[in-house]
Amino acid sequence: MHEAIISAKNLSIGYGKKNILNSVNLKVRSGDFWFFLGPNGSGKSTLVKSFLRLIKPNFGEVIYADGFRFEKDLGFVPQRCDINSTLPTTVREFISLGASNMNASENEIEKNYEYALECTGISNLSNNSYWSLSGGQKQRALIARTLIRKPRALILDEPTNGLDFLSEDALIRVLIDLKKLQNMTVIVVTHNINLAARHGSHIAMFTEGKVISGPEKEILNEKNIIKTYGASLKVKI
Amino acid sequence: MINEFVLSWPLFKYTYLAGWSIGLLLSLLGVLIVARDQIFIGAAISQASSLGISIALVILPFLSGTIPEYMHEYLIVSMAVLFSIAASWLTSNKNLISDSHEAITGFIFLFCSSLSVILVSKSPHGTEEINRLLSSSIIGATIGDVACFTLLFIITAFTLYFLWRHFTLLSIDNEMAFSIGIPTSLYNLLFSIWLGLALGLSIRVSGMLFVFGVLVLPALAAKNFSRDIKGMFILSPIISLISNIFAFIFANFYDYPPAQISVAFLSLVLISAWLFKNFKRCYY
Repeated sequence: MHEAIISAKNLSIGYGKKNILNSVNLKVRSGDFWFFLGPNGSGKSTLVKSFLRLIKPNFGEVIYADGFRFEKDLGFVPQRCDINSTLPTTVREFISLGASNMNASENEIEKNYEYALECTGISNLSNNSYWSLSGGQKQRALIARTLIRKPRALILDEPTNGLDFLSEDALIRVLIDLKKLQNMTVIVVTHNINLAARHGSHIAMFTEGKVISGPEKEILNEKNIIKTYGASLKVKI
Repeated sequence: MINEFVLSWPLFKYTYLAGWSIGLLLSLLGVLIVARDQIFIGAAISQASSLGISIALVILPFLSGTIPEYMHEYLIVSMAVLFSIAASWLTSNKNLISDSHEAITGFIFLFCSSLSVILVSKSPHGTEEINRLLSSSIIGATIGDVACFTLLFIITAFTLYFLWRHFTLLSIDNEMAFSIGIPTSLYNLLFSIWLGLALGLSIRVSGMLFVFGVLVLPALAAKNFSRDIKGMFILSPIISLISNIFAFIFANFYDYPPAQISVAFLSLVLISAWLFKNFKRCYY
């Protein structure tokens, strides 16, 4: 079994003193493909923020594996980038901003840039304006901006939100290839239960301040779905 | 026209050089202001600076005899810089006041505008000083001003040459910047201090209109001419310098106030940039 690269140990987190999640225990191992599922406000993004050290735990801790360099090895892809839409920027520049604070030479950044483009399949768009991209291409550019740092784990916040079926499919293929070819750990926060059933190796379901987590086959059952969403949903694989 | 400008050089060289160096410095910082979409921060900080000057003018009569005459100017400049930095920090500190950035900027502008005039309204000298700051006049700059702004420009350019990615990412995606280990609070604080320092020092020499104009107009024009943000960092100071050179030559020949002519020229450049962008959108 692979080592756990991120572990939540008795983690209680929230905003201020009020906890949104209580006593979360979860181990994310190298090469896992996790899906975080749950209704709005159930704490999915809060847990991600604690992994990213954007919020401090009220109790418990987030533990990273030995040698895991948080700033370099953990990449975060937000749902969208709220960049000022009148600001001119090219795909190349947008992605290269992810190389800030990397202590790498321009040559190394260029190599990583090519790698990020290749992984996300947008090499042909390198010199285009960022604003000329479609929603799906912008999402892939966001992933490339994170991949330029060559992280070991990638966290994506609702990456398929608002995408049509083809764009969603293309994006998921990018993530599957990253897991298969680079043994990258992927964590996807989503509302799309079918997506999780099709591609997830592990699932975390967020309900009433608790997290039920484990391998997909053990977790994604009718009982847990009713507990999480309050209704029975048919899962299409 | 050029000949007249050359002839005026011995008399006004420090005015010209100070104007150009302020233009270079603020047009670089302006790129980050435009990237943050916080255009009116320049106007608010300039007004805060004039409030600092007003307070200094009110305090000075009480200090006469206790501090030497030559220290008066230092006190005025220090107060201008102090209030600029405070305003700059207030507008960038989201934790302190839970309201939108626009709301805080608007409040600082209005509060400082009214108070700076009220404080000196009973003093003819004070009113004159505030009116001078509001109307902008570069005439009277010294070699010290030229050296100061050139040094600030060199430091700013040097820092942005090495850290442009850091500051750009910080301006457009603070959360991403934090998640990759950039000390965002420290960088934002340093930027606030630097912006406050640059604006506070500039306003005393060149007035509010010129300072606000060279802060935002070259960067806005560069935004429309450039393909990317890196291009804006290069183009903005070039636009500022070329426009200010022509403006000062023109102002000298026709005997117009140079600061107002500079802002008018930069406005024309911005209109050209908008037309250029529309033309490009229609035909390419």
